[in-house]
Amino acid sequence: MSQNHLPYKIKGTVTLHLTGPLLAELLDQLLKANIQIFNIRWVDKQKLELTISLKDFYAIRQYLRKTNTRMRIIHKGGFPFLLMRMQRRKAFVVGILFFITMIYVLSTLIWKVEVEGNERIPSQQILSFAAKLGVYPGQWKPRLPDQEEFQNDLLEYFPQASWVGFRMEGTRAIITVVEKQDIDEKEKEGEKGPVDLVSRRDAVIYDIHVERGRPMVEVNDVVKKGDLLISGAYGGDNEAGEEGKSRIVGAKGKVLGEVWYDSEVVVPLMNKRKVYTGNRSSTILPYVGSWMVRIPFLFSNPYDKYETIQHKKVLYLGKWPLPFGWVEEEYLEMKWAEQRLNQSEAIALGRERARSDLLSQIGPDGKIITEKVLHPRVVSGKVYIRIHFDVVEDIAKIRPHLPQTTPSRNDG
Amino acid sequence: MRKIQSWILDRFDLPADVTSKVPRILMVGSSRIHVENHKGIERFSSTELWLRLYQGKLAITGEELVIRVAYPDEVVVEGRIDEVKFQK
Repeated sequence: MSQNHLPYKIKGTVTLHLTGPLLAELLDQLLKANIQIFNIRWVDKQKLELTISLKDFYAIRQYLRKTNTRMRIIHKGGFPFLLMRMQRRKAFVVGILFFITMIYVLSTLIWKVEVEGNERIPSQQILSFAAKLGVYPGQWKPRLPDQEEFQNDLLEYFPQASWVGFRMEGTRAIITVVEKQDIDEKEKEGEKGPVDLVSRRDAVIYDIHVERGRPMVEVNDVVKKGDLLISGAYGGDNEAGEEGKSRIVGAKGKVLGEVWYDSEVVVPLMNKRKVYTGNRSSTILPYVGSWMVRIPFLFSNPYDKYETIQHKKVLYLGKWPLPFGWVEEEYLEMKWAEQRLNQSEAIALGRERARSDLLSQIGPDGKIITEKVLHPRVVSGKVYIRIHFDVVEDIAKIRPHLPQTTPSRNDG
Repeated sequence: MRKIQSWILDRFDLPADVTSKVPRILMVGSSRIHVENHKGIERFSSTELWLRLYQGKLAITGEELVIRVAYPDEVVVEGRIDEVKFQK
């Protein structure tokens, strides 16, 4: 209780020098009048210094008069006097306020847009398109386009990019670009050069379509991995062997081969999956900025297992979104549904999976001729199935043309 | 009234300062003294401070005495305190 000076500092204090005949009497009267006094000391034999709060300053005058005391103010401290002084220095105060406002205003602008991660797409191109969408230095942050939309637009505009990210770091906007790896293109380029087509794997030739080059195998031939299928050298007088007079054209074509695949599939007999029960409930939560006001006991959801769907309702002032609004949260009750399969069902399922796996692996030219399930066995609630596939697929692979025999060459 | 009060204090073994009729004095070394339940300032100079009490007076003597804070019933005094004395 005794030392709480702070409120008095806020309300303002006055330090006085008093001279007069009845100073101790005056102190007593002031205390009786419930006035608090600080730092009472004698400056010299006649002069008493004390500090009182500004509020009491007007009240003490009558006591001063009664005790015939003279007073001189030597110091005014605290907030009210600070305010008063500030009123006198208006330009200074205006300057401070202007400074704070400027910092705030300037920090709501974008100062720099950076592009990172791009190698082939020119940064300038990205920046100019971003500027068209509303991301440019000097843009006001609340007027930025929606992040997701912006990313999608950029991605659409630059098909060379496989992913575009957009984020803010203070006053910097950063666009991250991940470019596609152009493997397809390289392969296509390679096709134009002097190449041979060789076998990717052991197979029996099923069909050959040659666009350029000389076929080196026939249907029903057995080839090993790496065997030459279509030679890029073409046009010699003789058949194979004489490379000397041939032109190198680069091989192009398709060689379909019959190959075999063994797939191992594991299918659990017991399937657990989540299903909706159809029960739902929802609550409405207010949010401010990115902070959702979640009151733990008030809005507890009634379900054990559930999925949450959030609908954000943004309030708009004109066309600008306000930084608060509410979120409607919907809870959908879920439960585990168990599905029991018998062995033949499990095998059918496994076969289906293996087939679709394989089809995506062997490409558009491939097709499955036959399939055969080999020894299914049940181990600890799972069915292990081995499936043998007989498949036709394109087995040609590109390899740079290598002359197989190296006689003295004089082609040009 | 006073008799009843002192009887109650006796009977219930209560400390004397709950009655608020006696001063409560706390001293920190010889440089600081804290007096509660005084009745006013009678005399004050840089070498002595006289406080009125419910019964009698309290005289604090020393050098360079400064009243840090003064409330209607409480004072905090700092300085080189030589003597604290009760007087009739």
